Amino acid sequence: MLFKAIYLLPLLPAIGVLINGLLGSRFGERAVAFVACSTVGISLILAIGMLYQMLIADPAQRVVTSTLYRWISDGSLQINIGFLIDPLAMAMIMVILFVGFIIHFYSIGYMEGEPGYRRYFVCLNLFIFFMLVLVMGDNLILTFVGWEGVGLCSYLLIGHWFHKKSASDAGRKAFVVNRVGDFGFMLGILLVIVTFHTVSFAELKTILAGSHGIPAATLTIIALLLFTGAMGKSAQFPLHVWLPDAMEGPTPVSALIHAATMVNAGVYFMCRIFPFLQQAPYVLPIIAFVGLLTAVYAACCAVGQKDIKKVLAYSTISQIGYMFMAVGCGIYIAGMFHLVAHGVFKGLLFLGSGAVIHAVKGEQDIANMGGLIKTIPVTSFTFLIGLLALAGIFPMAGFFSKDAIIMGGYERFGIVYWLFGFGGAVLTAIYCGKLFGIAFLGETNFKGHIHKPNFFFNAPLVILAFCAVVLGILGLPMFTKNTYFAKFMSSSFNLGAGGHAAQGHGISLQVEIILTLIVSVFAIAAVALALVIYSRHRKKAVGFEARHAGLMTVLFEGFLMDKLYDTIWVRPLKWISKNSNEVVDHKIVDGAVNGTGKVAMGTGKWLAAMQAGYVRHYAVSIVFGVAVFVGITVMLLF
Amino acid sequence: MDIQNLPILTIIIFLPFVGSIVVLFNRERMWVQSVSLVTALLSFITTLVPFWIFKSDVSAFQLEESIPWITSLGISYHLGIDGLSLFLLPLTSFLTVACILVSWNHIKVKEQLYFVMFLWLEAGVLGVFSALDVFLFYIFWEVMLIPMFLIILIWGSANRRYAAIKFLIYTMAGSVFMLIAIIVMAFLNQKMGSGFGFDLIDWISLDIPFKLQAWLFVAFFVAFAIKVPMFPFHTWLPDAHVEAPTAGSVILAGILLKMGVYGMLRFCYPLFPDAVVYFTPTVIALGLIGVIYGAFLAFAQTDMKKLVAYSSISHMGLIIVGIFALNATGIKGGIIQMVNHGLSTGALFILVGAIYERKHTRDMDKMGGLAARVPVLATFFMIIMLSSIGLPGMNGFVGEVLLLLGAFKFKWWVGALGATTLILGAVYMLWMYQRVMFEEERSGSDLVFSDFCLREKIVMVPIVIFIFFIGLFPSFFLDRMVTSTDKLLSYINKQPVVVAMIGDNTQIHNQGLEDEFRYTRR
Repeated sequence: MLFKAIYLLPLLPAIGVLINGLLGSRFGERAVAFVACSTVGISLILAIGMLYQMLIADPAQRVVTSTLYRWISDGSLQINIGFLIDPLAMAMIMVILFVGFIIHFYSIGYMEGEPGYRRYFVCLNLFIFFMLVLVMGDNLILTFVGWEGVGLCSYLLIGHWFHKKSASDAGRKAFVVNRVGDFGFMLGILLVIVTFHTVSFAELKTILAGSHGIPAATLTIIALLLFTGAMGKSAQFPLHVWLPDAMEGPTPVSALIHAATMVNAGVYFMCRIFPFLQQAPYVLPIIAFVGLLTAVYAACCAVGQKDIKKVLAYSTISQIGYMFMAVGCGIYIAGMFHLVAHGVFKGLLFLGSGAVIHAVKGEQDIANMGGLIKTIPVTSFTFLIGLLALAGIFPMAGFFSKDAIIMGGYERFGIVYWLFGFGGAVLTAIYCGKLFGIAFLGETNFKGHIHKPNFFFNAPLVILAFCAVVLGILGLPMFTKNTYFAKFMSSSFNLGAGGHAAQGHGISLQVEIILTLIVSVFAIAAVALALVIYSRHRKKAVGFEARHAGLMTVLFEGFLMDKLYDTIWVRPLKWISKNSNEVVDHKIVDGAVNGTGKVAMGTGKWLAAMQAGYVRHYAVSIVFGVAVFVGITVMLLF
Repeated sequence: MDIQNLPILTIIIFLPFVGSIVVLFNRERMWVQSVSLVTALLSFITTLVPFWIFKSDVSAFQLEESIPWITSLGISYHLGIDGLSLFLLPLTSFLTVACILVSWNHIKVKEQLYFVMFLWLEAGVLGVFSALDVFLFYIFWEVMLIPMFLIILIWGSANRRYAAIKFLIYTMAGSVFMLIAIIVMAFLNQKMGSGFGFDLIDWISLDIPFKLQAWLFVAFFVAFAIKVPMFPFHTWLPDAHVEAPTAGSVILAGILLKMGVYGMLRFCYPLFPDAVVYFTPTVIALGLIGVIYGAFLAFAQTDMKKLVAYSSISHMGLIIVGIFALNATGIKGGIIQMVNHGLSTGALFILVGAIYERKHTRDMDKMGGLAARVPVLATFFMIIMLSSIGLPGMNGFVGEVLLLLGAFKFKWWVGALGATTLILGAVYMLWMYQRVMFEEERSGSDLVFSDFCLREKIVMVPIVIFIFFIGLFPSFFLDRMVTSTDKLLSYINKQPVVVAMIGDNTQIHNQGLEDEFRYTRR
């Protein structure tokens, strides 16, 4: 039974970290890459074996746990190092290891000859390790371990080219903004501990399933605090500001961490703690609102971006917004499906953009590309498949997953949510079309020799493109709550069986089909229109953008959120810090002390005028002082 | 001979002292250094011995040794340890080994005296951590000041005289109050207990009236608070650190600061439990100010050593909050965090020292890009920094979680304010790391220097191993301190105490208090 060895999944990448980290300085590049890739590869094979066993097992038997040892104990509170695999974790594990392995492989070629090659692979392996700990941890604290760990790897990898100030700043920003979210996460954990006296997911689920008598207000606060953590990690408005900057990292890192896996951890985590969400009345609408707001906001920003990676970054924020919207609608499985599909096609898009950037020697501004389809056809076609999946065009995976979410919004919250979800989908289609039209079609604006991508680039792209097309099968049969994916996942969400559609308005199949068609038609039209405008009539389009430069700047700068934070947080805090140091501590606190000291010294000098040297000086003062004090105290007491 | 019959604590305390005498036999550099190193290593091994003998389920003091000393004054040579001091002894001896290795071939003047001072310092601190006779404790407490004072005064940097004297005045000022309180306690023992004497165990059984408890608590507490140091008694620390030599800073931050917290737990808790409860809000407020204010100050620094010094104030503030949260979680967190802070901050000072040796500056505005030039040093620095900001898997996280949980159990908003350290710590530490290690060289200096040498690696590797060991297997430590923390808490909870749950009003009714001092937790 492979399941007995679930701890091997994270252990293998950890071994890779140790081998490369401790001994790697003696290895060549290929040996380092071999160690890193093979450890993840073996984990992937094991995971596929486990997936198979899980599929043939009875749905009720799909939960496997393994406790290694007692980690921290405090009275009745026991925190174990223990792992848990259920369909929810399995879905994440497959994304992490599959996309992770492909990106490891891709990195062999992408990072070739770069300084810090070994450091890069050590961090990448470490990331896989922590990400697996995050999704496999059987308790809140262990999830938090993985949570912080992936944050660390993200910090290290964003700042991989640390000689650039922008890269170092971006890494630090990512870490700090994440920590703001983690502050909420930590408080949530503490509140769980004092309320439930356990952090184990299984025990929490059992307690919540029974009549626990815990006030809904407490549960609401817990859920909101934990959601704050998820907002930080998953770059949801207003804690999203770190993700666009995170594009300073190497592109495979953006693909793995900032598209396919880590940034989705918040969605996974919300699904993991869904029993809380089900019982906390106001939290789901809040999550849905934040998700929808983020989805539309980031889609707007993506339209205004000039850098190929930033378009994708805002698009990621937007798509994760959709996932949160699904969670907020109580359709967790649809959220997870979009997560899986998005992990594949966004991974594809980032790897594709990496191939493009490599081909045009580091150029990232899409305006300076153009016509690439003629020179790098494989990259271009796979990129197109990714974009179509992102835009939700039939029959790509994104079509099935996004449709379910927008429909869920309608069912749960009515037409307004549907309209905004629809608007977001159209905007997505527009920026997808625009990106492809400018960068890959039309005239070539890049002067210079194009680097043809080699096998290390193309193989991953083709595999991922294939997956992006066929993954949609999991979303069949359509318009039911019983898709293949849902059947697989349902045992993880059995508590919330009523949570899928029961609270919704309940809409008929006809309406559903009509709405789906509307979204599809508009999305196709928007992609096509944007494609044509930005390839054939680019001058007009550029002219239009130039006439609305103000609006474009606002979009480009993400509605000036960075400037806002700089004004309301960074500057005031720096000011406080500076003045605490220069005024409060030096002048007031230390001044008072030195003043007292001077008085004491004066007295001391007077008392010990005959003595020379400081030590004796004090000795005399002390003896004298003590004698006086003791005398007085003793007289007072007795 | 059975190991249990050996006077182990005496051996532990006096081994460094004996070693320091052997050091004096020869003035040659190799002799001085080697003997010191061997002594420190032997001392480290002996401090590990108690782990084998220590029974974690016994609440009384263990490895006790008691010999009458000045019988007319009731002073005895009384030693013993519990689950609190068990970990502080090896921490002390371990950091002393590190200090000797750090100073290897780096001392230019009065080398012999330097190493002798370090061994004396070690002996004094080990004595502080194992004395159960309060007079004996006070002697060790004061004796250990002299080597520290001299280390700053003789081997410090430019402004060392000012810093050394400030350090001395501050600590002495605190000690005076404590001495008065100690003498008063001896008289109290005569009046209420078994005659004029200084034995802690006798004192614990005294039932001191509340008003007197409050005065005595304050007298003891001020001495310890200065040592920690707590806001607003902290201003000596940055000066002392900046001027002290690297090894001096390591001992200062790694061990001496712990003596303050140790004192609070060892004396304030059992002797003045009612006063502890009464003063808890004040102390916690000062602790929280320390956490936040220290972090803001750390952020404003350009001198690396000052930054680390202020970060200590922030971290120690959280420890104070935890141990005064009046629950076992916070106290356990406090004890384990003392060890953690000793390791990680000690290591940070070693690294800052290593950078100073290479760059001849600690000004972060004149650094940058070091990660490309000294990758091994940068890696160690990264690991230590992460330990310091409490990354899970490393030691700091375990302590931080327990401390915050303890604070949170006390009052949710205390935990919340304490948890800002998660953000603030990351802000100033990562900013320091970036300015020193990342980006490009800012000073334009073309100094040529090498990466970590073998000696420096030998210092850092064990620290890193301990960091991960505590982070991954904290139960090894927590299990050994449970009985002692429960006992500490039992002094406070003489009467049953309902542990506060979120949102409800809980009262501590302590009938030992007079009515007017009944203190309500709300």
